[in-house]
Amino acid sequence: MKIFNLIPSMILIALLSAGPALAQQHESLKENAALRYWSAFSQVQDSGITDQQAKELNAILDGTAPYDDSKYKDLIEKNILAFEIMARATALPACDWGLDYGLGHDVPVDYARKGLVLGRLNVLYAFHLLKTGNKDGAVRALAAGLRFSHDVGNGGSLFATLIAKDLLTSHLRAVADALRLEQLSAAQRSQLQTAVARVAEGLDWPAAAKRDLETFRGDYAGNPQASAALTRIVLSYTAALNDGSKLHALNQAVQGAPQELANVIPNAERVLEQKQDLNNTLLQTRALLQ
Amino acid sequence: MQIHDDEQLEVYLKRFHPIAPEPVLRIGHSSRRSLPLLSSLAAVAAVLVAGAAILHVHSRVVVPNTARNVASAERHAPSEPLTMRSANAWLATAPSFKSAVDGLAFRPQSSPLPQGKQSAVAVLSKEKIRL
Repeated sequence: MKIFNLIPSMILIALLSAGPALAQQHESLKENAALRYWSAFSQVQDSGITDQQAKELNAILDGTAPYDDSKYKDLIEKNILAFEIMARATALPACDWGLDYGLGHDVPVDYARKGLVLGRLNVLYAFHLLKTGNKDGAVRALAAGLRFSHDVGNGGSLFATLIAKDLLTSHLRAVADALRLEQLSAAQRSQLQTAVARVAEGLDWPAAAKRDLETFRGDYAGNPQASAALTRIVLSYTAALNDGSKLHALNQAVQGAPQELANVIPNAERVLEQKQDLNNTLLQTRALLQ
Repeated sequence: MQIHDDEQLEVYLKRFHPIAPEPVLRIGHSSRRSLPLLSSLAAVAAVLVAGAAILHVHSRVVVPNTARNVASAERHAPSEPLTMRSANAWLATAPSFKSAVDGLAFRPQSSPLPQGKQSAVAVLSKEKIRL
């Protein structure tokens, strides 16, 4: 009888203990910037451009062509809501793209391409704001863009990391341009300093490479020799991305692997070049901000 | 008075002779003659319309020949949603990572739908909700 009397109390205790956990999960979903970024992607407005204009846009982002506001003002103004949603989302503490690596090679990574478009548009938006004399707005757009760029690479594969690197360097170049061409206030410089410091640790290249390489695991599940070779490559690859002097060991591991596996291993030298390029750009921008 | 009028009418009717009708206009003959003229006008109009259309297209997309040649030599970025497999294939076959990334953003519309077809996604996304 006593046991029966205890049952309601036990249920109540169980519910009370599960409540905070559920609430915490609910809160973490609300605090996930990735969901807001998807919302921003949905608001991106397209505009028909020619091959020549596509080249010009890439040149502007590379810093090899000047930004002409009369040509891109309409495109930028059509996307202001997308920029605003993105900027507000960067204030959230976490960004989880919810990637299911159990899908192997079929993990969707199109979010990264959408991120590339929105991020590049955001750089043009910052140029547009500078041209129109809105320095506060430009600094806010650049600060948000830096955080967004970093978030694009969060938990992603090499592809997403490369896109995050491209966006980070574009934003850092735009920060350098703003510092060179405009007279920014102490508060504006400080805002940029904080934003650059937040992304200063760079991107997690070894983790991204590991995610990519592990997708091959399923392909060689029935081949112990290839599977062992893959394990060696994963270890050497991550070590080489942490320390470039270990590249030789990685090359040896790749050469010793079955040819079909060796053929699909991403070029680590190219990845290292990208990592180095980002580090250099970060250092240069930080020096400018001192 | 009434009798006098009747007499006048009778005299008039006696003098009345129907007038021979004028020859009817031969429409068939006339249209046959104007057919070449109409054809010429239609041909001129068609040439003008085609010329205007070409000028319109050119004024919208002005691409220097060199740029167009270079662009056509470039690879077209995958148009379908990317997965790790297709993204890695795109990266692996690109001359550099930078060119691969550049090729993915700001893409010109490269594959419009064939004539007479429309986007299934656009059709399905048209909402039919009425409040």
